[in-house]
Formats: sequence, C-alpha cells, structure tokens
Amino acid sequence: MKTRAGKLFPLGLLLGMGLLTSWLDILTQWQQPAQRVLNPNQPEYTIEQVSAKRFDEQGRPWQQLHAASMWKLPQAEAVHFTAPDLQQFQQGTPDYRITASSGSYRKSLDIADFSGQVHLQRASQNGKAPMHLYTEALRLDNRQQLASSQVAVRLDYGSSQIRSVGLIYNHQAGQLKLLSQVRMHYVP
Amino acid sequence: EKADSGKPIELAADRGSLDQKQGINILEGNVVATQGTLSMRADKTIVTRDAQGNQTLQAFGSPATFRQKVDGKNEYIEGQASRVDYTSASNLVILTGKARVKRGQDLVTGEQITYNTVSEVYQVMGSTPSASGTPKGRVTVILQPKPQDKP
Repeated sequence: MKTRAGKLFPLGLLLGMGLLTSWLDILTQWQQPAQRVLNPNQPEYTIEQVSAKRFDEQGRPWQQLHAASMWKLPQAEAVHFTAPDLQQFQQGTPDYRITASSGSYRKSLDIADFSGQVHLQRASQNGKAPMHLYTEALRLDNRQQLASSQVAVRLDYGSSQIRSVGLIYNHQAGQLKLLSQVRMHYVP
Repeated sequence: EKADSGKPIELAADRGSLDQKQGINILEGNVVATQGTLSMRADKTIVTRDAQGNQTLQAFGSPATFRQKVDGKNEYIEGQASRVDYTSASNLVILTGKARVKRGQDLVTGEQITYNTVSEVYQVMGSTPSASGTPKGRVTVILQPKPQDKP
C-alpha cells in the first residue's frame, strides 16, 4: 500500500502544481482594460501651465515652449496649445520667438500652426535691425524650413515696413515672397 | 530734387520677392514707387544692392515712366521708355526703347537716352549700341527758346 502511495505522490504533486499554475495564470491574466469609448469632440487630456525646454548636443537651450494649456482630441494627431510662446535658439542664443492666441502641432508632418495675434520676432543679428512679423495666421513647416501665411501680414524691419496679403519665407534660402497687395515703406 | 534721395521710399505692387542673400528685390504688377518728388510707374522693377551698398534699379514697362522735380526750379523732368536703368554709383539713368525725356517745354526722343542726374547732361542715340548694321533710328531734340529778359 505504501509503495503504491509512494508512486502516486509525485504524480499527485505534479497534477496539483499544474492546477495551481493555471489557476494563478487565470488570476494574473492582465485583462485589457475595457476600451473606454471617448467623445471625439472632447480632449483626451489637458495639461495646464505648460513649460517645456529642449537642449542641443552641448546642453545649450535649443527650443523653449510655454503655454497656458495643452490638449489633444482622441482620434486626432494634432496637439493644441492656448497662448503658446515658442522660442527658438541658435547655438544657445535667441534666434526667433513666436507668440499667439492659439497653436497646434502635428508631429508626423513637423508642422506648427499659429493663429490669433501672431507675433514672430527675430532677434537682431550681425548688427542688423530686429524683425517683427504681425499676422492672424502663420504656419511653420520645420521640414521645409518655410514660414507662410495666406492672410494680411505686416513686417517691421528697423524703421522700414512691408505689408502684403500672403507671404512665404524660405529660411534657408533667405527668400521672402509677398503674394499680393504689396506695400513697402523703406527708409534709406 | 537732390533732397529726394534722403527721403523714405514708398513702394506698391501686386507681388514681390526679396532675396536677402543675393540682395535682389523684385516687384511685379502695377509697380508704383515714390521718393520725395520722384515717382516711377512700371510693370516690373528689379532692385539690387551690392556689398558696398551701391544700388541698381531696372524698370520694365509699356512704357515705364518716371517724373521728378528739377532742383530749385518749378519744373519737372518726365521720362519714359520700355526699360529704365538707374545706377546710384554713376548717377546714370539709361532709358532704352522708344525713349522720351521732357523737361519743362524741352523734349528729347530716341531709341536710347542716357541722363546724368548730377551733371544733368543728356546723350541721345537713334538706335541702341547693340543694334547690328548701320544705325537707322532718328533722334529728335526740341529746345524751346528761353524768354528774353525785357530791357
């Protein structure tokens, strides 16, 4: 009797361990959270008083963003900002700064759109006067290094001033295209 | 007038492109430029500035026209041509293509007129220097007699 029990014991033990493991497996099975159906017109999240800074390889300031709030809709890629204040640095020194009533950014296209009292200011460089651009809508295409607007713009450059409706500025080529209704006041 | 060159320049056009690196500014479509008493109208203007700050202006039109008050006199110079070139370094205005300059009552016409804004000397040619073969164009100069002072 003893020998039969001796033989059965390891089998019983194995069986028991197997049952125990599968039971624990069921218990600990990570249940995918039931997909919450989000309202597509309501933000998935909002962040208040955003302050973000990025640094270059030498640890110098590269980009700095402040915003009153930041939010995103569930099924949309764009991230939205209210009262964005974006500053771009070049080797640690301020290059340009953009403030607006609102803005949005799409990572896949690397495009930022600013609207409402948009003010782009380019710091004074190599003794040249600082440049200020005022408009109601401005798009920055970082990939193409283009700034563009389809509405009225005003550029102040020292005591000279340019107005037009529609503008495309190619940062790399240093070319500015004024699309229509061009008015210039140039002080020699 | 000489004082014009220190005055602000007002420009208006349908389209424009400014190339900071090349120093080339192009305006197109109903271009109107004014600086003091000088005013110019053209279909297209190209303004370039070299490293030394010397500026050249090219105006194209059908025709391109300009008008400026004579220094110290109540008299205007009016010019028109298919193309007007102005170089600040040499103070030369070159009108090419059915060129015509009127000053007060005096009139000069020809294929090309070169006018020095400092020395106020004109040079008129019946055809442009580049025209091949024997020049055929004619030059017209009409100078009104100045009223004699009564004894």
